[in-house]
Amino acid sequence: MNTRITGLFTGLQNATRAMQYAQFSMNVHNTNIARANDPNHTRREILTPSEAGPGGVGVKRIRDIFIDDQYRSSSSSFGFYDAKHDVLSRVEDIYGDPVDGGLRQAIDNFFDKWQALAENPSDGVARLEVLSAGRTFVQQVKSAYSQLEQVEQRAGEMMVTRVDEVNRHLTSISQINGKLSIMGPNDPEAADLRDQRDAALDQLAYLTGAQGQELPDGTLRVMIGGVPAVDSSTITQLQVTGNPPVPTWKDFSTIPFSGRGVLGGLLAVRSGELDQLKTDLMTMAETVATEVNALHSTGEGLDGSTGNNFFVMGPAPFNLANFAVNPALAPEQVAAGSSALPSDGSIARQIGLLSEKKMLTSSIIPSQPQTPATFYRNMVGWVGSQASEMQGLADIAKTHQDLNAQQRQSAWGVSLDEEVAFLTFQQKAFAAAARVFNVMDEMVDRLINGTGNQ
Amino acid sequence: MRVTHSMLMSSSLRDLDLLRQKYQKAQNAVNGRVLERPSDDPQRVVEAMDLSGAKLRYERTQRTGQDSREWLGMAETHTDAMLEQIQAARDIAVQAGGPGALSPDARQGLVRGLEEVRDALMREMNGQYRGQYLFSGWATDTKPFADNATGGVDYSGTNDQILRDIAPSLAVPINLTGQELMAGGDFMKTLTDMINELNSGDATSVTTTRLEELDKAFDNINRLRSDLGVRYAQIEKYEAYAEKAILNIEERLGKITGGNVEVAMIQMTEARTTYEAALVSFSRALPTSLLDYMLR
Repeated sequence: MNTRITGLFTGLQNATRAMQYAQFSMNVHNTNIARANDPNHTRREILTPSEAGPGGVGVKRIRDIFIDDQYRSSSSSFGFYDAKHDVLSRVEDIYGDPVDGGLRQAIDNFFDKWQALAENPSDGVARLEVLSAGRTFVQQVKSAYSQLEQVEQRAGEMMVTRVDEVNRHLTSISQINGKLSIMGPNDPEAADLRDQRDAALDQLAYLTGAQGQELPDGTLRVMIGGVPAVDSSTITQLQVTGNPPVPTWKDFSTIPFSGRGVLGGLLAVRSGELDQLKTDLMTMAETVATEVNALHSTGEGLDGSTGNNFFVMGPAPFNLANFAVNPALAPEQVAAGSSALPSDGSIARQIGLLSEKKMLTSSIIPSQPQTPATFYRNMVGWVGSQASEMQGLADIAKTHQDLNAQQRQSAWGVSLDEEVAFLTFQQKAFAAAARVFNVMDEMVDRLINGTGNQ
Repeated sequence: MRVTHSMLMSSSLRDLDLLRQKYQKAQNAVNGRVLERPSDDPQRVVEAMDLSGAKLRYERTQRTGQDSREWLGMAETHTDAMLEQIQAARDIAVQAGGPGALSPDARQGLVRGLEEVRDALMREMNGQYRGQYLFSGWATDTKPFADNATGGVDYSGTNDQILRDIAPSLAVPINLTGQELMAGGDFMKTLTDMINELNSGDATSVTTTRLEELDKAFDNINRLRSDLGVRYAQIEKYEAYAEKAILNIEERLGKITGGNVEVAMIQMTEARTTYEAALVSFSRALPTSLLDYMLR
């Protein structure tokens, strides 16, 4: 066996290396402690010399792709349902107090006033009240509709803001991709960039349901609804076009945006629930007006006028802008009866009875025709149950997300206890190495000063 | 599982938030705000909407019922009076056949009696309620009956029923038309004929034909009158039903929208206690770490 004897200076060098290593380690732990509260910071560990390869020191990020994917998918669900719930709860506000007031009361009141007129066909006040209840009905329908439109517009504006955010994150990921491709994998600065990139991807997942895939060269490919939004440093951005506004891909204009997340939720609720509610509201107004007119035009006013419509609707297709109580209809022209006789309330009576007529088919419960009041009540009930369902789903997704966030924290969050322990450990290592250096130094001293000429 | 400080913090904060939400909900319930928006409880919101719609309909039933009963009551009063007058005419007809009616003076007395009866009947038949003629169908502004050249009356009202919807698919007519009143024959012409016959000293037909005619008219109006009574009772029944229904609805509505204050109070106190306990544990557990013992 041939043992190679190393020189004294090698010992000095070893001790220096050990001190440097300890110092570097302490730096890493210091960084961890300093960023303990940064949710995007991934805990770093120092690589052992064997892991770091020849001549190197380096850090590794303690990261788990599997938990990351889970976190991002629950985050995407949360974004989706929460955005839907947010919009639907604004819709709920439109319906006001569900029990008192609002459009529902206007519907009930409208038919009730006809009934009252039927009982007192020649009463001028009853006639005025029918006209005024009609105007309230029209005004309530219009106001509900315009508020739905406002919510819709607001959803569109939110889409624009969200798309801007998405584009910013996409740009930042592609820039980081570019920088990382020219950096070593264990570079502490690369770890910083990766933290930033992961944070951007987290946001993208929440906003669009994006998924990431790290390629062998260290760059990240971002897929959103099947479209590669970032591939290495190539980037495809979103834009909002059209009316109603829709997010589309700038370079793939034929492929619709099919991601989830907040943007997907906004798009879904806008083209789903909101559209349906608007259609149903229009259907209700049009059907009620048509039915009332059909009866009213066969009747006769007190002044003998016939063939008058109670509501005016303008040319087809039905447009709420043209919908009103016939402005030319004087109170005495309201056709309460089939004749001008003072106690003929037959037409008013039939119009009053329309409140019981199942004249409406909604897009919500298409199988069953409904009375106007039931139709409207189902609309409100549906909005309520949709909103509470979305709230429930958002809560579930949020719980998942929180759980996954906990798992992420558990895997790579900074534990101050650990870091303090490691710091102390490295401090001791440094002291030990320094001591070795001291011993070596004494040996060299003895060798140089204690031998030879005295 | 590795637990870090930020995990402790975020999970505690989340729990505190949940507790605050619970507290807020309980507090809303105490303040009587259980159903603020449809999503609070869609089922109950829908029920509440149905109930308040039903309440409005029952209130209409009550108003309609009251008004209808007034109409029917007036019609009843007037038909009662008519029956009395026809009965009086009948009595006179019977007297005309008796020995006391032989003298011209006595006959004159009977004729005067009949004339009074005829005038009274005319008044009743043209009876009004709140300025509207009771027996002229839909033409309630037209005086229904006027004398004609033959000694009878002409009817200038319409033959329409005034219908009132008391309950779903129960429409009750609240008027009698002139046509219906006259269905037993033109008794006014009978009276004129009787007067003429007595004036000319012919009592035979008065006691036979005219008496029969009066009986027919009496039967007809009597039948109509009892019909009015039936309708009146029917409406009264539904009114009572509506009143009870309104009470029930109000009670149910109160339960749905207001909730139970005692239960809500207890829930709020519970929520408050848990919240306070969580705050204490949070404030004690969080600030400690190894840093407090090492590297000092």
